[in-house]
Amino acid sequence: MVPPLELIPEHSILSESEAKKVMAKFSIPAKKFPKILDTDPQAKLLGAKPGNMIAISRKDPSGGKYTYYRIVVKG
Amino acid sequence: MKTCPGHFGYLELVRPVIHPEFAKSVYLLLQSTCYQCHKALLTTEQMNEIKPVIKSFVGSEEEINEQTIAAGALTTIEREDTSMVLLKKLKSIKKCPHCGIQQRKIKLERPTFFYMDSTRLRPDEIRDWMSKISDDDLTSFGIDPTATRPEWLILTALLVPPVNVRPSITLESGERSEDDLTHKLVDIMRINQRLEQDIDAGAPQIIIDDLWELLQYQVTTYFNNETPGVPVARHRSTRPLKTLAQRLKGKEGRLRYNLSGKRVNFSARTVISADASLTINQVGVPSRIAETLTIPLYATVWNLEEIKKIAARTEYPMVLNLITKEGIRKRLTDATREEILKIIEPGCILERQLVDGDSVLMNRQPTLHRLSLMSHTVKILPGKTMRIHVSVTVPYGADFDGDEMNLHVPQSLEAQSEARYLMQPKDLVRSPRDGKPIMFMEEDEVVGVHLLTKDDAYFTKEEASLMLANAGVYEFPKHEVKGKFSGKSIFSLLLPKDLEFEYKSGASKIVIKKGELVEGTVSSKLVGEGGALILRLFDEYGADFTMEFLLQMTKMTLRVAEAAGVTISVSDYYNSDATNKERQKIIEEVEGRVNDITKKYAENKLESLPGYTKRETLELETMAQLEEARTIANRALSKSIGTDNNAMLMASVKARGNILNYVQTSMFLGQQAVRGKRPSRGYSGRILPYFTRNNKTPEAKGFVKSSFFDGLKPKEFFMHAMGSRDSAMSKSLVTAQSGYLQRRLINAMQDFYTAEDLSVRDASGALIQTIYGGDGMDPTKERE
Ligand SMILES: [Mg+2]
Ligand SMILES: [Zn+2]
Ligand SMILES: [Zn+2]
Repeated sequence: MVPPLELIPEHSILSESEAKKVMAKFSIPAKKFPKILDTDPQAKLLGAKPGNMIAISRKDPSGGKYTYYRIVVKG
Repeated sequence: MKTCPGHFGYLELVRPVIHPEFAKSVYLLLQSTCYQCHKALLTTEQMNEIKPVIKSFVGSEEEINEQTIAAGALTTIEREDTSMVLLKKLKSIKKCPHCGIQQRKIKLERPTFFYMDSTRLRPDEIRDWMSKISDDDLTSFGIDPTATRPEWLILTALLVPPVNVRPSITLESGERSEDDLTHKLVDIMRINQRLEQDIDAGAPQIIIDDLWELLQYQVTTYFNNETPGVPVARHRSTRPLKTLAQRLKGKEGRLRYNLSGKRVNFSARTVISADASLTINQVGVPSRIAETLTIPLYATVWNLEEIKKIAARTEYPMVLNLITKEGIRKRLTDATREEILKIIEPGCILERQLVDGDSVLMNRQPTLHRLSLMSHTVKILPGKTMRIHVSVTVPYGADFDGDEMNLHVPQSLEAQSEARYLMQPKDLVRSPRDGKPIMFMEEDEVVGVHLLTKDDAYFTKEEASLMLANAGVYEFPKHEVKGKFSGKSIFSLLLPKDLEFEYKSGASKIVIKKGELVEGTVSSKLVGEGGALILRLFDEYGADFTMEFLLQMTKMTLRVAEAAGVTISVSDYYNSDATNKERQKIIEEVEGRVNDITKKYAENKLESLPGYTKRETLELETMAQLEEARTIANRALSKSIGTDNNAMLMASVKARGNILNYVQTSMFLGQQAVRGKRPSRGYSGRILPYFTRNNKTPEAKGFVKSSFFDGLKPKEFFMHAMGSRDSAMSKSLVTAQSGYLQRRLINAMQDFYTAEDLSVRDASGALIQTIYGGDGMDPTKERE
């Protein structure tokens, strides 16, 4: 287990319906999203399973906040 | 049009020959199997043990994952090790475990001769041996018997490529010249026929063996005429024949020459030079190039008459070719023009010579940038160089010391409109890196604006007329002071009438009110690198206005600089006695301060800087003092030398050179550095044998007191050379490294694009970024 650190942007698991919405927004299937290993410390911390979608809220020094999405894959 | 791709044939060989490129595989199989029972030289148990290893060696990635993960997956290196061990094991086996016969030593004499204990193995014997190896054993060896049987490595027939592969050319004399491959095939056929005749006639075995060997030689050189250990087959003119391998191999081979490096038509390349009367959007094209390059004109029902008129021309803007509806290209000459004019119909394409106003692409290598390839408007000019505006030199990274550039003529209408809408320099004034102008005024122009707009600049009516007329302005400023015009008012004539602009930096302030420069001198900060004024004009008055402004500025400022006679000579660097005294004083003071630090250190009174030892602190503080010397000299020079000195003028207005150059030329070079530190290597405890050991004084550690003007002392010269070599080396290393890094990044990202929703996608539509750059900003479009 890794304790949350301030330099790591917030990760959270999306519910199935939320994930569906995100896929519809970008009009691509899950496999076309960037990936994250289920062995990734943040994925482990959340208890994410392969197939889950993780939302990462990033704070960018130039332009405020934006959200990045990753699909959990088996590591 | 000829569409037949040709058809392959074959030639049956009377006696089999070894395929030279597979001799090694044959050798391995001969060594690994028994010469009597043709089974692999391992017991059945050993084979079973080794099978999974072999599988991981040859199996597909998925197969490996399934099976070998359990058995502990092997890395590539481990796999190679295993196969080497296996081979060694097989070689060392003396007795066949199946039939018990003593094994004999197999030898390969390159390229194709096999011996078993000094008796020659003939290709037909080898072929028999190969055909008796079982499918099961082959699988263990990593050969898929359903795809390749090893006896196929011994040729009984030869594939003969069609003439399309080896065309014959008819010389002007009517003589036919055959391709090298054809010659080789003829040789093979001849020997093959002789062999057949001799065998039929029952010739003695020695003669047959000789011919057989000759056949083997011909086939070997047919595949590769540079096979090691084989004499090269030559033409009658002693030129080595180019056979199959030679066609593919090397820089001039099919792969590197024809596939990786494609040549393009409709392009030109020459030396570039500057032209101050062209806009940044234009390119001066030599008439000889314009006469050769063509642009397509598409004949339609609506322009047929017009196009026929152009095609009928017999002078410079002529039509060179006609491409019929069927795609046949016909050349228009004085003899054929009449005939061809009659067949022009809608759907034809006419190829017209390049004329003023056509769009062409200009490119300078290395193409690191989207701005390294831009679309220019053609202007036909006499001479043999391509000419561009000096300001467009920056994005290309070009100068005129012999640089060459490539020119391409976009052919399709799509390419032409893409060039016009996306690639014109006038639209690309703002840099995609930070949004600052990347096309701005430089060198003479910067000196020119300075001289034109400084506070005490006044010009007579005649001078003003020349400057203004040169820039294409045919009116005088409204205000006249004692029969003269102020430079500021002349400059203001180029500005938009409603421009309100203010720029502050430090003590200087520039104010433009209602298109009139009322305060301040226009500097490079406004119109040079980072140009705030250019940015403002581009954003508010558009690309065309900015382009015109840049051209007018070039014309006007060059005239000012020319009239002032801005040039430098050695006399600019000649020191007055006062300056020499100043220089002496600066050096002595620095040496004094360094001495103080050294004394403090010796007396153990030097307080060490946080994180450093006492000795490091001494070095650091000494270095700081020595670096400081240049700054002091810099300040002293700027104070004592006025801008009536042209070298100083150019440096202070940021046109060319900087004050450090001036300091090094007329005061002293200062501290030389190797790897960012004072030089330290060479002899033990010293750099040169002329110093005492552990001498830490400035001159023993690379502080150069002489100037370029006076010349360097031998010891100083050596120190300077050490510094120069260090910086030359690290510079070239850094450029090579960053160039390679950039190339890899470009290749990795080349087909990413920003979609309509501002997300970044790759060619398959997969998501790369949810919003471009994390903020969706385009620096090129950003406004204050
Ligand atoms: Mg150059
Ligand atoms: Zn055919
Ligand atoms: Zn045997």
